[in-house]
This record gives sequence, C-alpha cells and structure tokens, in this order.
Amino acid sequence: MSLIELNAVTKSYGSHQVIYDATLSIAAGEVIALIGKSGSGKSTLLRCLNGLEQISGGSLRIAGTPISYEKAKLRALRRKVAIVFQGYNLFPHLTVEDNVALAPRVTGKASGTEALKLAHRYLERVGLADKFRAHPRDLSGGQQQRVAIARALAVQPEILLLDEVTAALDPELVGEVLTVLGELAEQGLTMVLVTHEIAFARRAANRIAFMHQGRLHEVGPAEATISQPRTAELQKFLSAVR
Amino acid sequence: MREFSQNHMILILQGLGWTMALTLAAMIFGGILGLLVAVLRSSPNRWVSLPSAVLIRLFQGIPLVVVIFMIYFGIARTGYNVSPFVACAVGLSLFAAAFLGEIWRGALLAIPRAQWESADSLGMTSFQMLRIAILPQALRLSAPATVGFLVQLVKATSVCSMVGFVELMRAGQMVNGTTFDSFRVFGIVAALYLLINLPMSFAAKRLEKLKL
Amino acid sequence: MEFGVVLDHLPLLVGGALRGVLYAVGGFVIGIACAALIILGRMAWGRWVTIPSQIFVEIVRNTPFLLQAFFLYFGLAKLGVMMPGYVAAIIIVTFNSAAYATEILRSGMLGIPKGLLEAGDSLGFTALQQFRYVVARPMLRAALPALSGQFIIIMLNTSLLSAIAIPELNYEASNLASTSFRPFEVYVVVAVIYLTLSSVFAGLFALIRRRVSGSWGSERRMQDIV
Repeated sequence: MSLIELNAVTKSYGSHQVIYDATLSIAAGEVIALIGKSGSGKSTLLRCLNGLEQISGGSLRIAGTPISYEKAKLRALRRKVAIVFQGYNLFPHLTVEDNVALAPRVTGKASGTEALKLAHRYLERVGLADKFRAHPRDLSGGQQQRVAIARALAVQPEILLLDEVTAALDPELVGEVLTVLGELAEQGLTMVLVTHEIAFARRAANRIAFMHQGRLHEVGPAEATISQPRTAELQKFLSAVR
Repeated sequence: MREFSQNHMILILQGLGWTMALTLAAMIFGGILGLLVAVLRSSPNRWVSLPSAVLIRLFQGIPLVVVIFMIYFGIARTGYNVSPFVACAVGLSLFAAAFLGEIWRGALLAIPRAQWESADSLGMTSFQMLRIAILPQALRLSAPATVGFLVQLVKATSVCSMVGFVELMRAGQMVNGTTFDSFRVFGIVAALYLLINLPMSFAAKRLEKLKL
Repeated sequence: MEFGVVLDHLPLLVGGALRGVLYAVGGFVIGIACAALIILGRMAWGRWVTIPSQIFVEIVRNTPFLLQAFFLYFGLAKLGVMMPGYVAAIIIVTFNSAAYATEILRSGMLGIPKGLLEAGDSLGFTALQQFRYVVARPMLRAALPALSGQFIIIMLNTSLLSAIAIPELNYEASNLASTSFRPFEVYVVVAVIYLTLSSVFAGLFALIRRRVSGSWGSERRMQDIV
C-alpha cells in the first residue's frame, strides 16, 4: 500500500488555480523529487501533504487516512509528516538542542531528559554533535538547516517533506546539507523534496516529478527522467537549468 | 427626579457641540503650535529644541486634568477671571501641540537625508526646503498617527468636565443627575463618542495600510 | 507663591499618589494577563474570539476613560449591578489596560516571522503550545517598549478615578485646593509628584528592558493617551 496517495488533487486561491488534477502514489521508503520552475506549484503541492495548505478538490490519503483539517487530526498528521523549510525557521530564543527537543517533549510526551537524549542523537546524525548549546544565530546557514532537519526528524515522522532546503544557502554550504539528505534517503526514510538541485535529485531520488503550470507534467524514475525527458517542457526546463 | 426627555437629549447634543468645538480649537491652535514644536525640536541647536522637549516631557508625565487645573488657577492667580472654556482650550491646545509635535518630528526624522540635500542643491533656503519639499512629505507620512491622535483628542476633551465645563461628558453627568437614568444616559453619551471616534479610528487604520 | 500649607499636607498627597499607583499596577498586571488570554484565545478559536474581543477593544479605545468610569459605576448600578467604587476602579483600569495591551501584543506578534508560526504548526503544536513556546517570548519582547509607555498613560489616567470618589492623588488635591485656598500651589506640587512618578517608572521599565533584551530592535509606536 502506498504511504501517500494523491487523487485528482486541486488547489485554488479564490479564483486563481495553482494545482490541477494531481494524481500520484508514493510508497513507503520512496524518495520523490519535485522539480519545476518557480511558480509551477511544487511548493504548494508539498505543503498540501502536511496540511499547511488545504486542498480544494480531489482526495489525499496519508497512510490510508483521508486528510482532515480538524485541528486534533491535523496535529496527529503533522507528527507523521514533518517538514523542513527553505528559511530554516528555527526558534531564535532557544538553543540548538532545545529547538530539537521541544517537539518530542511537548507533543511526544517524552520526559525532559529523554527528549534531550533524542535531540542529541539526531543532532549527531546531522553532524552537529559539537553545537548542542549554541544559539541558532551563531550557526552558519548550512548548520541551521541541519538543525532544522534534526528538529523534523526528532518528531520521528514517517514522511519527511523538504521545501527547497538548500535554496537559501551559500553555494559552498549546499553540500553538507545534501550529504545529510543523501544519508537519510539511503536509510529508507520516505521523503518528498522540492529542489533545484537536479544532479542531487537524479542521484538520491527514486522518482522525479516535474511540475509545469500547476500540473504533474512528467513523472518517472529519476535517472531515466533526467537523461531522457519525454516531454518538450521538461527538456526545455532541464536545458535551462543546466 | 424626571423622566428622560427630549430636552435632556438636546442638552446632551449641545454638549456634543461643545466637545467638537473644543476639539476643533485644539486641533487648529495645537496644530500650528505642534508644527513649530516639531520643527524646533528637530533643530540641532540645544537651546532651540529645549522648550519643545520640555513641553513634550510635561505632557507625557502629568495628567491633562492637572495641567488644566494649573492653567485655570494659574491665570486666576494673576487676577484675570478666566472662563473654564478658555482654560480648557489652552490646555488642550498645548496637549495637542506636544503630541502632534512629537508625531510630526518622528515623520521629519523619517525623511531621508538625501531629500534635504537634493533640496539644498536646488538652491533653496532652509525654510523653503522645509515648506516645499520636506513638510508635505512628512505630513503624508504621519497621516495615520495624526488621525489616530484626533481620537485621543476627542476623548481628552472629556477631562474638561472636571473643571465644570459643560461638554458632552459633563452634559451627560448633568442629565444623569436629574433623571437618574444612568444606564441610558451614559449609554447615549458612549454612543455619541463612538459615533465621532470610530470612523476616525478606522480611517487611521486604513491610512496605515495604504502606506504599506 | 505660598507652598507652606501645601507642603504641610504632603503626606496626604503622597498617600493619594500611592493609592493611584496601586490601582494602576494592579489593573495593569491583570489587564496584561487578560490581553495574553485574548491573544491565546484568538489563536485557538479564531474568529469566535477575535470578533468579540475586537469589539471590546474598539469600544474601550474609542470612549473616554471618564465615561467608562461613570458607565460602570452608575450605569450598571441602574441595572442592579452594584459594586463598591474601588471594584469599579480596578475593573476600569483593567479593561483599559487589557484593550490597549491586546493591540500592543497583537502588533508585537505581527513581528514574529510567519515561518516560525508554520514551524510550530508543522511540529504539531496545539494553540497553547504554540503560544507558550513560539509566540509568547518574542511577542512580549517586541511589545515591551509600547507596554511601558502604556503603563505610564494608565497611571496618569488614574487621576480621573477621583470622579467616582477614589481617594487618589487628584482627589486629595481637589480637597486640599478648596480647603487651603492655595489651589495653584497644590496643583504645581501635584504635577511635580506625577512627573516624578512617571520618571521613576520610565526608568524602571528602561532597566527591565535592558535586562530582558539587550540588542532586540525596539519598535516605537505612538501611544494612546486618554
């Protein structure tokens, strides 16, 4: 059974439709990269998956459960589907370890020490064992983004969403974040990522979904989709970004 | 004790008229004086900016009602017989001058230096510069806060009731004193204040949004 | 000028001033707590709290303090809701503080980046958790300058409580003015007392602000006065 099932999903803001008829199944353990021009609807689609955006039509099932926007159900969904943002969005008044430990402690009902242990484990996993007590403002962008990834992982989600997580980083910091993501992919975490890093998508993702004008224009195995794009739009997009 | 009647309503409406008159007087005199306060306060010369700074500090630290009493009894001390209206109008004008001055000074400071310099390079005197180039912009910039202050001013006029001047608040108290129909009387007075103030409050919010 | 009589009664005036400050502090503390609850309620229940609280805020902000005092003390008594003057006084100060503090906290909250709120949402926080862990601290910090200004305004406004016979400074002053036949001198002394109080509190708040924040950019806003 697939973990995420989109069936004819649409999304509009008032009369302005941004997603048309999105149908896609994502299996557990799969890594899917959403690529496309800015404004093609890929971030919006991603944000639909944890309910940050409400779908306007069609159906969306996560782990077999149809999405509900009732508050308690939405909170339950978000413990299954975590997200990392382009702008990190770390809590500026908390230390790195507290940023990561906060959610397990207050939503996962872990005790303070358990939550901190968990936080340390995930911070080690993203290579920040030496930054537990640092404040976000003292870290580089790449480090902050890795804290954000650790924070999302500490919720112990089934699915990790990543919204252009390297787009705001200086080029020399992109690598460290992609390395972490590559490792997570190898460990079998289900991930959906919106990215401009085509080479990374090709290497780390199982499948690639190309979005164009609000539609899932072309979806296929990562390697083949990049090396032999079938549609003219994807060809054009790929040649533009190279 | 009497029933609340049309005559009482007329008394209240007359009070409303006086409230508006006080507001208007304070707006005009306070506005002119406030402009002066703002300009003088922006002066680099300490002796020029000092009086406006003092005026602002006084109104930020002393309740308006106390200021009005001081003016009232202060003038009386010099031997002149002063009417409550004059004492109130003077007090409110100074009050308006202080706060409008502070608002407008903020706007003057917000105008980039380059604007002053560009006016300078056109060969204008500093007064011309101020009048033609800087003030119009500053006034536009400060429009939301200025309109917002008018609401404060209308409310501030109610303090005049405490020196016995019959504006809206005092008229309400008087009618209440004869009818004892407190809920209705003060309800009507409240409605009248809202009637004047709410549109201005909303306008201030609108202006704020327009600017952004 | 003849300050002798006035200075003889200085303890009386100082007593009144302290009572006024007591009302201001009490009402302001409760008022901020109410405002925080209103903000929390808005986050949890959306418009069911937003609309009524907005109406409350607009009514308080657009009517004079004095009128509110009369309405609460006399108007409600007419409906059978009687209360002693000091209760009415503390309620009015609380209402005023709550209304202005709600607006101040709201604008403090506007400064919190939208992404942080989304981050909290995405971690599955309830409204209460979101408020406690994401919103409260940055909001309060951003609101501190405006709140301290508002407190001083509220404190000056307690001078109007004499209208419902609360024996604060202005009340003692008008008694003394009529018995001493030195009204001008009385009010000069009263003005000095108020100036001292507001300076002391302004200094106190500046101290708190420095302790709490350090480098946080303080947002200045024109405060409401009456």
